[in-house]
Amino acid sequence: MDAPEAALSRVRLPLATATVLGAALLVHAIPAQDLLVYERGAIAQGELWRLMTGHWAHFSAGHLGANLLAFGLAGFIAEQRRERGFAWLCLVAPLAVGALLFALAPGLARYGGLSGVSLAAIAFVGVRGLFERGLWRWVCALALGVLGAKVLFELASRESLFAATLSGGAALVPEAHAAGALVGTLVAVLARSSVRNVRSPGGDAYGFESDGR
Amino acid sequence: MERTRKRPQCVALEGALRKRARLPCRSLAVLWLCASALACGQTQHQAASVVDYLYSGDVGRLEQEAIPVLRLPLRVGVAFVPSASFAEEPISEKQKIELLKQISAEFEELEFVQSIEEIPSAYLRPRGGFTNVDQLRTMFGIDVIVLLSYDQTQFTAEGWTTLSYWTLIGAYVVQGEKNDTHTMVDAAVYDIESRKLLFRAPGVSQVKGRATPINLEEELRLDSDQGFQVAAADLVTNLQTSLGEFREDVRNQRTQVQVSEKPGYTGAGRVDLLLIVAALLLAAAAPWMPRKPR
Repeated sequence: MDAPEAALSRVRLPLATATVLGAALLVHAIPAQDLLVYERGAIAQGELWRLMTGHWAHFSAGHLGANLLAFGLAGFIAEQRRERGFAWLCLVAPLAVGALLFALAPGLARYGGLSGVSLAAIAFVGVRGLFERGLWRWVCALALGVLGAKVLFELASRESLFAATLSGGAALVPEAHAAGALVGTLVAVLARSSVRNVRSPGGDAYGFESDGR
Repeated sequence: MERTRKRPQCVALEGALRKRARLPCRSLAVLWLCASALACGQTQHQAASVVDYLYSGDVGRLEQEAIPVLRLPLRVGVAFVPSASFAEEPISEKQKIELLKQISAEFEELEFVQSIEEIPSAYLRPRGGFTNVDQLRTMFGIDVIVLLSYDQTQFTAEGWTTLSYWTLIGAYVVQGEKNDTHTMVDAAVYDIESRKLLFRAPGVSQVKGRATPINLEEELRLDSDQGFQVAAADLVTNLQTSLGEFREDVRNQRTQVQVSEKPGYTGAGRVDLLLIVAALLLAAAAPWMPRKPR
């Protein structure tokens, strides 16, 4: 068992989720946001940390709030269900999504927002759910279907299905969502090999008893 | 007590002077009534037209037809076209600024709009045409311009109660003048590069009023103001609809407009309501469905 997973097996606090949410809140609060936001020119000149920290930077309080809510919910589910690999996802997804944006969206000069990582987290939960039995598997399949349709619609139309207006002319970046969904799926599949039935003295996630099968 | 007695010659002179003094008064009354009769059916028309502004300076010049390419996010300018006549405009600068602000607020709501510039009237030349618009594009760095124009006609007619004007007092108290004010304010949205009209939205109003001949001018001015206010409110409502329709037309490719992102654009990774609802449903369902690995 690796270090982050071992920590989570002892404590049920959603540590990885809280760390990411805290980072986003901190970056939004400090005045040095310009040093952390994704800027293509600066990344090309070697400021590689922006590939990761750009996801924690947000352009308004509303932008921040919506993204924190989505990521917080997905992270909470993943950690309460003790899904292996989620801590790694929190580490890998920002870098991978940032790198994919750099490769796939050359016109994108400046970017901020956690939504790519949020989609990675939701895709991760959904794909891990497909490896389970029972009703949860079908709920996850439905969620993945909705997620896939949304990403395809955005890529085709470059419009959000339920557009949340963001002033300042910041455009929707469907590539970030597509990259997030892809990274989440890949991490979930790679983590499958180490999936084990986790039984704890207090029962399973949310206090429900696992049937142990 | 000593009394002063007028001499007979003086009495005769005084009577003659009194008769002469009545003549101008009667003449003035007749002239005034004639003027009132002439005023019957008066019409005032004032306008600032987009066609006059854009096309009358370049008579005979034909614009090449081009497909507009909107590079998002857009920088939008909003301006009132200047009137071609030198007469005093019926709409004040204050009213213009208020309307510009209202129109700007509508465009600020759109996520594909980067900035809005409210362009003062002083920067627009009467009959300036697209040459003037190109100058504005350079000066303010705009891609699209919203040109606001107006057309107002005021009719004044007299009813039968104007007969009371013969009493002179009636002219002060009887509102015999019937005013009718028709106003149209129009917003035309142009892509500057292609010179193409993207869409337009009108706002119209009709104000009816009455006045005495004494305060006719004042009432007409008040009706004019009210006409502009109502038309402006109507314009804002119609503009919201037109903006929504234009957006749908672009999305469904029902219009000859191409949309692309400007190189070097800013992007925001933002989740929408659908994603939040999906995450909420997953979070709500998860506690009832314990983990059962295969």
